[in-house]
Amino acid sequence: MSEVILELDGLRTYFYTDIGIAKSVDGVSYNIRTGETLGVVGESGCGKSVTALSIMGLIPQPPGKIVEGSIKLGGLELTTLEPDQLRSIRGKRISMIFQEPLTSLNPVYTAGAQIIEALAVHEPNIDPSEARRRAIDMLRKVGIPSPEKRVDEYPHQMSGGMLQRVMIAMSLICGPDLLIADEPTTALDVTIQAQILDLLRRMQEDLGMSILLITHDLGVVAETCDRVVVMYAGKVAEQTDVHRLFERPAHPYTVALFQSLPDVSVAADRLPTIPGMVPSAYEFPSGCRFRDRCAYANEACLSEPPLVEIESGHQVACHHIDRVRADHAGGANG
Amino acid sequence: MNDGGMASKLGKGAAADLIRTVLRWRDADYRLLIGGFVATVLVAMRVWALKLDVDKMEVYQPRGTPGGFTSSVKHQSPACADAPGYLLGTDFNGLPLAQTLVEATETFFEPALLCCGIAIVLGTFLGAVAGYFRGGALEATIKLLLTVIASYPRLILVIVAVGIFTAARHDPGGDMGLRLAMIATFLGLAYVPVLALAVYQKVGSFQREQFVEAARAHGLSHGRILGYHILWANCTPVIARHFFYLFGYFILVETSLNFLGPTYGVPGSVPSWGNLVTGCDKGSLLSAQFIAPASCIITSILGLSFLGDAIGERFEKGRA
Repeated sequence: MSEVILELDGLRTYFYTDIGIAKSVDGVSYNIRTGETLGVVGESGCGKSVTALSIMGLIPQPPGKIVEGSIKLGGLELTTLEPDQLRSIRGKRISMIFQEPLTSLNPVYTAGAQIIEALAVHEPNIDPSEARRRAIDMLRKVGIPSPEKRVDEYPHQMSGGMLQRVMIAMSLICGPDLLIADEPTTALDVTIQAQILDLLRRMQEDLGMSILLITHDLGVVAETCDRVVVMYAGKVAEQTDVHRLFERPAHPYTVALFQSLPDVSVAADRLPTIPGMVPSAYEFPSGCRFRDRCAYANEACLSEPPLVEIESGHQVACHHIDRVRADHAGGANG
Repeated sequence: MNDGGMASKLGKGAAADLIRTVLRWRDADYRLLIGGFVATVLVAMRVWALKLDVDKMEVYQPRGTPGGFTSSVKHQSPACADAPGYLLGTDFNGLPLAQTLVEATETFFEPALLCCGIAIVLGTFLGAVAGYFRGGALEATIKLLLTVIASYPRLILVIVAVGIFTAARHDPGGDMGLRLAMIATFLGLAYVPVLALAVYQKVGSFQREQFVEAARAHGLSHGRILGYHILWANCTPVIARHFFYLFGYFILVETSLNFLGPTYGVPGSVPSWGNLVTGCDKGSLLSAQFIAPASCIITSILGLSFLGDAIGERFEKGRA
């Protein structure tokens, strides 16, 4: 088994605001191995992106703060690093791409200038012509046609797909160990989504890096990830490998997510949804945070379910694992 | 076709060309043209003024005044609108008015640049830091400081500061360079909250932009992001606009202080547009001695405001 590159242990990231404390990430633990793609799924506001920003050390402080827990990158504890040390890791060992490629690039500077800047910040003595050559090479690798010409173009001269490729080139120019992709295909149309996912897979094979893929699209997870973490209300609900998640989900929330997927083979007047609302991060209910929306909820759910390993590599935080698995033995929709 | 008909047709063609030209000019930015012209003239006047020396200017000697004016009686001389050979006549010092108008640019040009420099350096720094590091003690402290300064009307602040400075030196109307530097410094400081607030809002609007977040994710320092990605790339229109506003505002303040006497403004012996206007008696409001310096003041302020607006908008359009 390959070594663990990133390890999160009991991470808690809170936001202290005038209206209270938002416990956006509340005791999250998972790890990523070298060369692996880990998918993090969940509804909006479940803490996926805040976890990613915590890893990057980009939580706006104040109001945000990592109050507890550990983030280790290749054994190096990130939560105790000085800001300058953390900055030297960002872009070089961990990189990140965002949802909106058009707004992720500064519209005033050319694509090439921004890629070169991302390189020069970690290699300050690099010769400008060498930096330009490497930027063009990287643009070629990510599939930009005529990179010698495109390197001098501005973001507004490129399509969404090309911009996301430029962002990927910027993120990978220093050869990071870990790439965090925060919903990288959400803003793109379906054909471009497939191309970008394929590109990420190819670049992962070339560079041997790990990918933390944040998404709410289970189709993307199925196609791209090796393992999956399902998050709900700032906590990990379930984590396992992708095949097991789709074949034998063990958490009622995971099951509900699968049941919410529209099925084109079945005519339906209404699409199935998960009843109720995601609780506010300012006032999560005590006990199981999913209990108000859960079909299996009973008195037991008034106490917080621990994250337990039900089989090797499969962890679930629920009091009703056996009932859920019995009801859905035939798979996610079973 | 007879010659008259041909001429008429040519005339119509020329008129149509002229109309087309005018219509094309409708799209031009008149503010940029007017402001650019005014700024160019101001710079040219200042360069010309470097070659002029008031003490060597020929003082007008009206017919029938044996010996004419001497330097010792300069300041008691009446302005003369129809002094022969003097463009626009003479000022109340008996000096050629046209040349005095040029020489007077010395009184505000460098001090206005100093004033703009102080306001831009401090205003940009404070606004940028407060806008970028939002939500902390640093932002609160800077905003408190700016609010305190901004709570005083700018002109009153300058008058009080210059008054205290003059009283402390017991030297009303003494070192003119130092006096102007003081006015420039205090006005620059008084203008800091205006520019700082504009930069604060601009930086704040970009601070949570995704490209800023992405730049952080690539390991860029706060200084690099703030200086290169936010200030240089996106705040230069605001700063350029305020530079021209403040330059014009300095001319207005320098002129206004002259009405308050030698304790606050420029003494009457120093060529200044404000002094030329102040020195006119009520009977000469329709003479060149009043209209020329007043027009210089109004045109300069208006032209610089136009230029500030036009350049600011052009920058913003170009970067949108």
